[in-house]
Amino acid sequence: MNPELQRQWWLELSPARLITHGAGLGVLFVLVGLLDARFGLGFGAATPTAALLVFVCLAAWIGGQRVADALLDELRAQTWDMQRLSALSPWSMTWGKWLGATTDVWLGSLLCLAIFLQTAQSLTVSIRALFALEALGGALLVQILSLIGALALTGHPRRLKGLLGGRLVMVSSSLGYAWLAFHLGTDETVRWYGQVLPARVFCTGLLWVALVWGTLGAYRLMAETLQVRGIPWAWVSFLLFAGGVAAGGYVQPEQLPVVQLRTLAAVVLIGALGAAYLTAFNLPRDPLFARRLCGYARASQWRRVAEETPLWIVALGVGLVAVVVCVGTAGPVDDAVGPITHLGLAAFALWAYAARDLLLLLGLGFGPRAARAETTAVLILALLYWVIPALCTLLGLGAFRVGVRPPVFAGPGAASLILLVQLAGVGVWTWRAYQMRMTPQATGRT
Amino acid sequence: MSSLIEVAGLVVEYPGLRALDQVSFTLEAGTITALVGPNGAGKTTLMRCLCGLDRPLEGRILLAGFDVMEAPRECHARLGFLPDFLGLYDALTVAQCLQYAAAAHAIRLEIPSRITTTAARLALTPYLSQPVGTLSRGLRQRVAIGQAIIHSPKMLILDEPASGLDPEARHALAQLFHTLQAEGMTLLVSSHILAELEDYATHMLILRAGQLIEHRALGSAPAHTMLIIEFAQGQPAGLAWLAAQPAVSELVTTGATVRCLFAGDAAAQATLLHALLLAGAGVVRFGPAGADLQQSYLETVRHGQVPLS
Repeated sequence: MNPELQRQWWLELSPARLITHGAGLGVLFVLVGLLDARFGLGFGAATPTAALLVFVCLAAWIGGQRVADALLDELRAQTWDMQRLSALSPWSMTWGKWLGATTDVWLGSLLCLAIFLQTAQSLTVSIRALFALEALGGALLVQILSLIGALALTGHPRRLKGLLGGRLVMVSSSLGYAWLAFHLGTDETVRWYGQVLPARVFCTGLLWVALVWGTLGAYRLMAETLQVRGIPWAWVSFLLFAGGVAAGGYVQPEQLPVVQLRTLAAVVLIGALGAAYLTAFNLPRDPLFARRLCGYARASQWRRVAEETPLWIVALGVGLVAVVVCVGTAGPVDDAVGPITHLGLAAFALWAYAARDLLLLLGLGFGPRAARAETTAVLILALLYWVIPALCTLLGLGAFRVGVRPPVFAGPGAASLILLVQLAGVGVWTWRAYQMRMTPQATGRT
Repeated sequence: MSSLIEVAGLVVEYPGLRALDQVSFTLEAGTITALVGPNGAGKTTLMRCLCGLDRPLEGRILLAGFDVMEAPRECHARLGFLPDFLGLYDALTVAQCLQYAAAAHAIRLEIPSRITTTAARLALTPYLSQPVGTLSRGLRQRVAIGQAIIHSPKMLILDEPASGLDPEARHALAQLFHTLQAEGMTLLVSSHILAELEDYATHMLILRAGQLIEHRALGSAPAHTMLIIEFAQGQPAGLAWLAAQPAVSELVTTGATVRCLFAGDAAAQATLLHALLLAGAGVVRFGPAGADLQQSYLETVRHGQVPLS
């Protein structure tokens, strides 16, 4: 048996807890059944709705919190280092924590799901099955995202700060999942790579695919936390896969192959830039990574270089390849599906915006207030993107406004030049901050 | 003896701080090495690197032939570590803690017998069914040591293992370390209580300000010996002669008694004494200041400061 699963069971699966939870659910559904009978709704109206709602509360919210706490409690109790010192594989650790911390929650949740399937007689069997698949996939996805959020916190010096972020991820993903469950009609369709597909089935499929990627992501993050490093093939594959899936809404079979290619590249670029921001702001940043990478490169240890390159730089790299494709395949405007099919040089401007912002974040991480780098970066970016341009507009300083936030689509060439200058400036500042931070001032540490 | 741990050119930096600077050494299998040094010397950082918990900027650590950075899980299966904060699950019983530690280190078949043996070694048998959170500091320390040794690691690293233990328990701990050593285990023990380390250490590894000052077998001649020489009253000529000798440094005079560092073995000490007498010095006492670990450590650290001051 997985030792981590067993340890979680020792902690979570006490007979008293199981009896209490079972009794609580029993009382709840007896009351809901009585309400159905008392107000003439008929058995099967309120009960399945209540069963689904309780399922969401238990499996997604409480389950998500349990999975995160399975890791965060280790940090708080200073037992995480002992776990890192075990011989458990990253995969055993991942699924042991995930399923071990939520076993009692799943027992209750599956009971709710069974009640739903049994009492939702107004729905066809296939719709009920689809609901069940959505519910299961959505809850598992929320839980794994919660674990990813907790893993991202393990390297942050101010861990408690991240608790709010973790809860936000959990709540927002739960709400997204609830939206999918309750608002997407069963007769709606989506057009994906020219194929017309039932929207609900398509979304449910995507949900499970996202779950597979989320599980892989949690495994890779766990492996990294346990010092088991690997080349980030999974991350690159995910960026390309996600871009490919999203591009299905824009790429049409009647388009020329070159248009299809540049559309795909544009979507991959946007996805990669989004992923770069997400990982740079959320995953731990080792201020010594550049020094390590230089050392490995000098020793020709290229595998180590690939293993230790931060994910946000990898995402920027994928984005840069997409920029090359976008610029190299630039052509006439295809108005049928909007500007996404003809980014051209604007693709480089978008990339340069992201590179400038993330370089700024990196530089702030080298500064004296490194622990607040994310907050400071958000404030500076708000100034650059919104406050200063708005002030310039008010004061009639149009040229200055363009210098601060050059319009990407109106003049991609000029925007690219301006952003290159900004990028160089931020780069020099970051290099100076890095040198100041890295200069050894003293030796010794316990 | 074959080497179990090989550390080469280890450099650990934190931003603006070099915690370990080109540290290289080898630990032979079956030894007990005392890791000593002042606060901030880099002891904990070194131990965390050996365990693969922290990544060095440069350098290489091999444990039983495995690179700690390349194959950390393989190393962890061969390693036991007792951190200064213990790392115990308060809600689990002692037996559950030991069972988890064994299973997490890839022990599969003989877990019950290992729990029994480990608990007996550490006098924990009466407490096996008690939650760890209800135990005293000393008992918790023993449970943590039990977790670290239950899988019979080749290498055991202990950070302040005796803190919180009463004298009787410390004595029992020293006995346990001897037993583990006799079974072939290699130990690296950090402690501020040098007298306690003296009971079981076979080697001493001294760190200061992130640098390895000395690594040698205890009982072997240190590079520098602290000598105590007492002159007869009114013999300043002997003192001046002594100060002029190139092998002598760090002279501290208290009345007619001189303490100094001398670079040389016992034969060189005899030559020095002979030369002193020939120079007409009235020597009434001559010999090493002491051979205990505390003295040896102080001598080395003091000498290590000379070129840097």
